[in-house]
Amino acid sequence: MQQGSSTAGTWDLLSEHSGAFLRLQRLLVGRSSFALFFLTYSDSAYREKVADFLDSRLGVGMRVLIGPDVWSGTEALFVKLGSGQQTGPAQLAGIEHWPEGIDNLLKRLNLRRGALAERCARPLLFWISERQLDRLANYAADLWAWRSGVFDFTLPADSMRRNSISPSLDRRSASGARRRERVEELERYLADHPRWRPVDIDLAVELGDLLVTLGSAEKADAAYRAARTALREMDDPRRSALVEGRIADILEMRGELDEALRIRRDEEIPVYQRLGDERPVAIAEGGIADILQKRGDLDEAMRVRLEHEIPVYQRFRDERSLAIAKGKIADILETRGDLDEALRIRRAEQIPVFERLGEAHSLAVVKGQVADILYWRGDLDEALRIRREEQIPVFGRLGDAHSLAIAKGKVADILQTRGDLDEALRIRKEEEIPVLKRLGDARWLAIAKGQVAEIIELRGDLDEALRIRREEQIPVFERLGDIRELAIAKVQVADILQTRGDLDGALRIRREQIPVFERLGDIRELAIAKGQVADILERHGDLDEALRIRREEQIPVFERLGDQRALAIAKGQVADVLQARGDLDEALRVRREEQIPIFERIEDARSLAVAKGQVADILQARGDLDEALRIRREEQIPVFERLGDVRALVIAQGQMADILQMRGDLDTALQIYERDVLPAAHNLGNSQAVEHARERIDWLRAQLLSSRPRSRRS
Amino acid sequence: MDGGRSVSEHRSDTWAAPDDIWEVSQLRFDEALDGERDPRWVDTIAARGSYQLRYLYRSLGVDGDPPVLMAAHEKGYTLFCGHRGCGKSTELRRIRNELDHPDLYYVVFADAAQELDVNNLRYQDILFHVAGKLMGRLEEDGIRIDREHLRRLEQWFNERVVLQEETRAFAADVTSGARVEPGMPFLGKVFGQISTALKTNNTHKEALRRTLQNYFTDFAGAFNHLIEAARDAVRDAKKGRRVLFVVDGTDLLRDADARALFELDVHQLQQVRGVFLYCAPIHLIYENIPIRQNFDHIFKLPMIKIKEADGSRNEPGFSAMREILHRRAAPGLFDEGVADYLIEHSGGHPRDLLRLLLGAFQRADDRFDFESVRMAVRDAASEFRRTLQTGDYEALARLDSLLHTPPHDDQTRNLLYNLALLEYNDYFCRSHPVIRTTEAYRAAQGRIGSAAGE
Repeated sequence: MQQGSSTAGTWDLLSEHSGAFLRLQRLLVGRSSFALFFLTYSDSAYREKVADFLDSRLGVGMRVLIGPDVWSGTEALFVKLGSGQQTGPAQLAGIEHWPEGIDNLLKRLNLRRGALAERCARPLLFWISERQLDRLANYAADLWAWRSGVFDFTLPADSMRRNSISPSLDRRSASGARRRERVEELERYLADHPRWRPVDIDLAVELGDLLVTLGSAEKADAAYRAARTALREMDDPRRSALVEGRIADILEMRGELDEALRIRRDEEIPVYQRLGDERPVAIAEGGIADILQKRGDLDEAMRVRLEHEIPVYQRFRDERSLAIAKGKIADILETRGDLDEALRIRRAEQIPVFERLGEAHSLAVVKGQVADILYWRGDLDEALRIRREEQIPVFGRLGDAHSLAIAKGKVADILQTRGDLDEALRIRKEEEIPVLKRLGDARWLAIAKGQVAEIIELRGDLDEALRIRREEQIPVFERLGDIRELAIAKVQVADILQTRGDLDGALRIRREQIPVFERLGDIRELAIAKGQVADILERHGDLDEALRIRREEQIPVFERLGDQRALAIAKGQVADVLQARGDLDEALRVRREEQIPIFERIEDARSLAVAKGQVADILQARGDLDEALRIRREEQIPVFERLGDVRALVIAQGQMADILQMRGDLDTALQIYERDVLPAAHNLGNSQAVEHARERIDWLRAQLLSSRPRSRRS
Repeated sequence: MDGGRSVSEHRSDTWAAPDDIWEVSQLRFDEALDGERDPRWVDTIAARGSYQLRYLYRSLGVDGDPPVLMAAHEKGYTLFCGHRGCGKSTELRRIRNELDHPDLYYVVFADAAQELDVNNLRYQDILFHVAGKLMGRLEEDGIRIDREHLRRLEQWFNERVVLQEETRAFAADVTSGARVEPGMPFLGKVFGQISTALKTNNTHKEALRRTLQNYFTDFAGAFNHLIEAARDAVRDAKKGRRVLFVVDGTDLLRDADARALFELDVHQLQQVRGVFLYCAPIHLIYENIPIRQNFDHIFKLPMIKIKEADGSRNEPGFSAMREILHRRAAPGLFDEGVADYLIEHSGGHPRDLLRLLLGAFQRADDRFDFESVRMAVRDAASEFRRTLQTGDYEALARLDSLLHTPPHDDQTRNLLYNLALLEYNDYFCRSHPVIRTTEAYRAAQGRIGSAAGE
């Protein structure tokens, strides 16, 4: 007897054998009486591996290996099978070594099957080759008639491992055209070979994966479902569950979160659990947490990660998966506004791991996430440096064109925030969009086009922005079935309509999107959408309803999510309403006591500066011009300068000039408009701002002229 | 044939079929049911077409309801055949239970498969063994036989075993140890030890066989005398009117062994004047050996007939199969129509029905659904690939169109032997329904259809 050597918690056998194992295991649960199971094999080394695995999973049992010189006569064999205190089943192997030949043994066992059952009072796992089993079925028919099942553990023949099609592509680096070619090749091959072998199913899965990257979600789903059906027929529940996971990914993207969740919980996890395969259970639990995270159920997502995902990776000492899971925890913390802890996790628990593992790609991805946090905090210089020095060169070196394009898009985001719209637009048009087009990544391409639309919108070309959203973004998301991105794009259309003054059109769209976010269970986006409805109501003058929405439907959600940034913004919007109603004291209190402390706590320098500017607005309205001026000068403008946020800087400088003008310092006000505001507005390409600055300059000049004493000559 | 719970636990009045699928999983194929004493047992006689147990009973002189021993035959040799797994052992136990009655028979039941070495079985082994079983049962029941009637057997043992050179050592083993009371206790011990020696391939086995062969007439005479004395003793004890020997397990004998027992040595078997019912391999009656002349009666236990030759449902057969199924798995465990699907694909073969059930269990969740039984049928069809040759599918397709008994050629015999072809007692055969689900069968059927069209 040998002790089982396989590691508990892992699936060590071929996936093709997962069905046989599960069925055998099901039959053996709680069975202590005789039952005959034939286990077929083709390779004795693999047979021993399976035997060890069975021992480890079914309880250690009797192992009897017939040797060339061991016994003659079945009596000794029966004695052996009847001995021992083991509780598990008996495994009999080596029948080809029976001294009197295998036919002799089969004949004896056939006639003495009753004695075999009587003496071996435990389930008997009878290892036998396919050819021998054919012989047994014909020449030991009575023994054969007593079988409780046949379980195939033969290794696939070499021919089964080959097919006539070329090897699969590296999806990360292959061009869109190459991937489309491959899709055609695979579709042709699979159509020409309607009876799929196990190796053909790999091709069907590859086809699905490629179709996902090409944005053909529906066809990908069909490919996966066909693979799943074939795997079920082939009795390979393990691979079938893995394919289920891919189907769930597509459903998740389509916003069918309930069904995606059901698949993870009912179709995936139970299979891995029955196989005792802990790692894919943890991965699927991670998938569940992703869905919960999307729905805004952050507490539950966190619990799943901490209780069901991370401990498994820790137990397996799987540093890589652990680091990735920790990254997801950091995502949750980011959503909640706990940027410090998120940053700590990225820097202390992710980056060192990927450095140690030499995983350049993952390392670059995490560094990008660090850059995201710095960007949100307003540290644009450092965010830009990381993108340019630590991320982009790595993706370039690895030939990962897709990640490279996305990273460049992130650089464009920073430049856009800084007001460098020209460069941002150039990057989008020259370095991001062409690559995404070439790669055939429809989803990211549509997202990038949306960002172009955003710049165009900022520049005031609302018609073109609207055209891009409607013609180049929305149809793509519709085709992809990506209802989340679709809803977001529609909300952005509503933004444009609102800017154009079409408040009713905007309101209609925003209200239409609310049920979508409800369906997605995305309470965060839902709260944002409701806030946008409140914006319009505010513009319509329905301040009470706007205030009610903010206080009852937005703020409680952000409090529940722990999303500090969104909470601070919503509080600011409450202050806006109060301000509009003329309740300046309460507005000031909300800003000072409820909004600003949050931005201070989360170290969001940019938002803090904006909020302080809004305090200055109130003070200005109340006539406290000195304090308002001090805030603009000392707490707002230096921050925007440091952040390189030209757009915000221009606004703040204009506001400072207006205070100076109110105080009667028309010269300085004019100087600011002429020296700072007008050139910057030009640079931003913001025609409205240019126009406004010119108006102000003309007015100030006129005032100054009229206030000066007329000369005698004139 | 199966038993999740041990038989001793069963009481028909308290029996409830498992309603938890995990209990169903404990089916066994290595146990025969003990007739109506087992609550899972179902009377399938009416479900087997024109087969009637009454005909078998009549051959044993029993008729009427309640059964009465009408003709007390002194001797009779009957064969009981049937396909593997069709319920022979269960039926034999039921016959034992029904006929073992003060007004009928005193049944001595032997299971050669369990109690003897069927790997190497000769008529001597059986006769020694049933002699021992007879004495064992008489002792158990406290029925005494006057020593006078035992002297011939004792004498045979002394002269032919104790005094013979090659069996002397064995005799010494038997007679050593604690002193045993002479008469039945002593002879019981002797025949018990002989059975053990024959079963365990003891070194004395061949010597004992030779002794019986060489002095068979003496032994037969002594045994016959014992049978007569036993008949009188059991009648006096009101335990039965005749002794009936029922020998199960001899159906496992193959080829030369079966021919030796039922053809070449049948004369020796028939020198023992008793009423014997032997279980025999079914292929004997399909082969051209004079088996029918050697035995008084041959009974063939057919499959349970779930369909008529024209394909219409035979309700009694279907009901019996449903009952067999539902005594192992409560009806509530099956989705609508699933139990009938299983029955239809069993072909009326009880063991195959249970194997399909077990196959479905492997893939079911907490109840049997169509997907689980469909896969079980697919697995069963796949297992037939091991015993079927390419041409067999076409042969089966042809046989399926016959409305009469198929030809007794080698191929048909093989198909019957492998249970690919099931025989029903209205003298028609049909391929096993799971085979009919295969592409190979359908293709063969298509070829036959095309050929007929041409």
